[in-house]
Amino acid sequence: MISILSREFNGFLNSLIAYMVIGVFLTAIGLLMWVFPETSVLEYGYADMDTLFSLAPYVYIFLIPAITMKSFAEEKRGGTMELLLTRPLSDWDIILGKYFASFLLVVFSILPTLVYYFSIRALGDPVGNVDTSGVIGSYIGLILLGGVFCSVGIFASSITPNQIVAFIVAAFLSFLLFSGFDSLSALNTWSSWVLVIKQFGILYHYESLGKGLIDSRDLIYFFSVAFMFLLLTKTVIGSRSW
Amino acid sequence: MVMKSKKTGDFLLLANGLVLVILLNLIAADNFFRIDLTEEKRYSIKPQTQELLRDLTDDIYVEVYLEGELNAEFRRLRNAIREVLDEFRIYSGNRVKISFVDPTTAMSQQARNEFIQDLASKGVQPTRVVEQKDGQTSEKLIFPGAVIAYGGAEVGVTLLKGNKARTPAEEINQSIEGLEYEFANAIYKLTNVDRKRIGFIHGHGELDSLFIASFNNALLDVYDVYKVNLQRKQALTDYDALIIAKPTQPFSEHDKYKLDQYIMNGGRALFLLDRLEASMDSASREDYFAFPYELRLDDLLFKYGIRINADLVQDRNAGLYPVVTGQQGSRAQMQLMDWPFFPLINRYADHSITRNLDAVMMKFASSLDTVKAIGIAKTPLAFTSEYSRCVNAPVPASINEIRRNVKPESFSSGNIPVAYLLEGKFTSLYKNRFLPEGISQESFRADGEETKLIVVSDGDIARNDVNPRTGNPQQLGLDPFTNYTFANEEFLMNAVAYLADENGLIKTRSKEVKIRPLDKEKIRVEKTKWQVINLVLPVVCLILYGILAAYLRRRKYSKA
Repeated sequence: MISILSREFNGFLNSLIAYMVIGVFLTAIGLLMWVFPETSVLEYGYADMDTLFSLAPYVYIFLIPAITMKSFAEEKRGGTMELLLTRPLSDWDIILGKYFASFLLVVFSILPTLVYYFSIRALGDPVGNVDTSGVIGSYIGLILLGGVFCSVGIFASSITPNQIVAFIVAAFLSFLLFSGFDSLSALNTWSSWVLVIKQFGILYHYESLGKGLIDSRDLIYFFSVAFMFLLLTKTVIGSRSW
Repeated sequence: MVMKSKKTGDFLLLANGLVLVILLNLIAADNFFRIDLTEEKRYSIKPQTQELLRDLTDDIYVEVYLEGELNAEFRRLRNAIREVLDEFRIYSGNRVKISFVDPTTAMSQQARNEFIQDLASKGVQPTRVVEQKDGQTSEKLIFPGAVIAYGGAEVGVTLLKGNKARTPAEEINQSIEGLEYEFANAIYKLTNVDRKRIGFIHGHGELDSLFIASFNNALLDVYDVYKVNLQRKQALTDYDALIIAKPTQPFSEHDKYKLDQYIMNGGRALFLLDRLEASMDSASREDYFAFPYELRLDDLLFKYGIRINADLVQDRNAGLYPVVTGQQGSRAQMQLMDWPFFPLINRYADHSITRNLDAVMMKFASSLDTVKAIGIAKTPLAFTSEYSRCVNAPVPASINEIRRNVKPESFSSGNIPVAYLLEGKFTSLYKNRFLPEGISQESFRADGEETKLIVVSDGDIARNDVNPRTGNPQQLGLDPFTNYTFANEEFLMNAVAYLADENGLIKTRSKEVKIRPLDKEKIRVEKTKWQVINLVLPVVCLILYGILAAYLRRRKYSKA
């Protein structure tokens, strides 16, 4: 697993696409956080990184699929999949290796946003008046969310040899998972099931996690969803020998 | 066959995984923990509130009217409201249903007016917000309140509380700190079946029902309220708290004995006592002097550890009173002037009763001193401002005093306590003494149970004015000259809640939320600089990293 992980991760860092994705992410979130008056902290006037944590998921919906789309799709198209599978590695090694490589890249993309934290620290009145542990908690939430989106992306990539298809399926699934259930629950037809439907969605669980409030139920939900998509991927990869 | 079993195996694994995950989530739903990583535990609600929410048996609907276009401060308040209610929802097992409504989107002007009136009747008052942006001044009406409905009953909650003397940002912050209590208290009001019993002592010239009507109504929202005549009433033990509001006539030994024994048996009491006889009616007389009332409660209070001094406090931070300052034609010219006998109490102890309270207006208050009483914890709750002093009886308390030039330097006694909380096991006034005539020794208790008393050295704090035209009682704390409502009612309600409330909901008022503003001046001057730093620096870091990585890679390969 480690060998796959390092190979994949280095592959990312040597490819232009990873830099593009991270660059777009940082520019988009930077604009939202510091320039656009509607969401800017400078306009809001309080030492609060809520903009980052509430809007980053929407940016991720489009960017994480771009990171993960090639992981299996490319191998399938290029015919290297068989080569990979003949190596003395279990399916899980391959899947987890690829999964954690993209997950690491997502974590890597979040790291530069620490600049925001230090800026807000410096701008605070008095200087340093930031709820640091709360921010750490929110980062944990965002990273977990990235983990879920990665598993969705990996799964989407495993079902098709076409990267574009993988991207679209992953973005759609991520969006559906993130806020689709929430929007769905707003329909009138469900009445008493509204809450149950909401709870299937990520947004419901991310709301408190993104604020620095760690709830065991939310953690278990996040791990469950990531696990389910990886298990689905495993089933798809395993289906070659059916 | 082998192929087939592999397929089935894979599907079985998938199904097993799914079942496992669902089971795990179901188990987790009931056995959960929450770790609040924020520094001041911003999102954690107190166990008392959690218990209240767990005990809900029916859905509760909360409609918040703070929505729409808001300035930064009110946006912060709205976000905080949402967060608090979200916690409520989680701990109530989703019994709390939350909705945010923007009242300004209401269709026609008429519908909007009706809506505003409807809200006002439920106790949600609009607030006018004046905003300056790009040199333009605009005014907006917002509704910082909510209506909570439960089991067919509705109650309004005002969410903009806090000390108006502070900056708007601090006021909002204080409101945020109070949110949990405001909501929990409203839910408590609605769900409360086992209502506490509060008794107003009467029979000693206490405040007439007309003048206590506002306080009485506020109490009736939460408690059952009774009039208690000490002479007729045998047992006082069935009252959770007694209120003695501005008596003017002496207490007999029998009355005092009953009161004393009530307290010995763990009864709670709120004393609102005027030491000196003074009112605005008497003050309008020439050179009026305020003399002490003969209440005969001094020895009782002394035994419990407190003494109301025979003086009046004067405060430069005072309420206003209209004074004739001249004559214009045939009409007298009136001017509102500081009336130092109406101290505006704005300094409080950091206690759940008085936290984040707006100013309270007292009228002719006296200073309080503590005396030695073993085992009694004495907490001063409220103080006058630094610019105050005590004037000993007989005090010249005439309106002419205003016109006399008072030297500001002479107001130098500093913060004088005017309300005390006493907690502990009190000792009876009648310990080692003869009991009043006709009382048998049998039922006498010399040493008390753990209890609490609050003594305020002003009876008028509970007195509402009466509208001179209609004769109806006005809101407690409403100052007719400035039309400002002081926090008298809130102070008294908190005091009664602290005394009578066993479950300790009032303790949720002690929540503290730190205010974390950004340096506005710095932002104004260096805005672009920070935008550039945060927009460009991360991307530059990324590019540099990329170049470095590429360079290293090339070197590695060229070496090899």
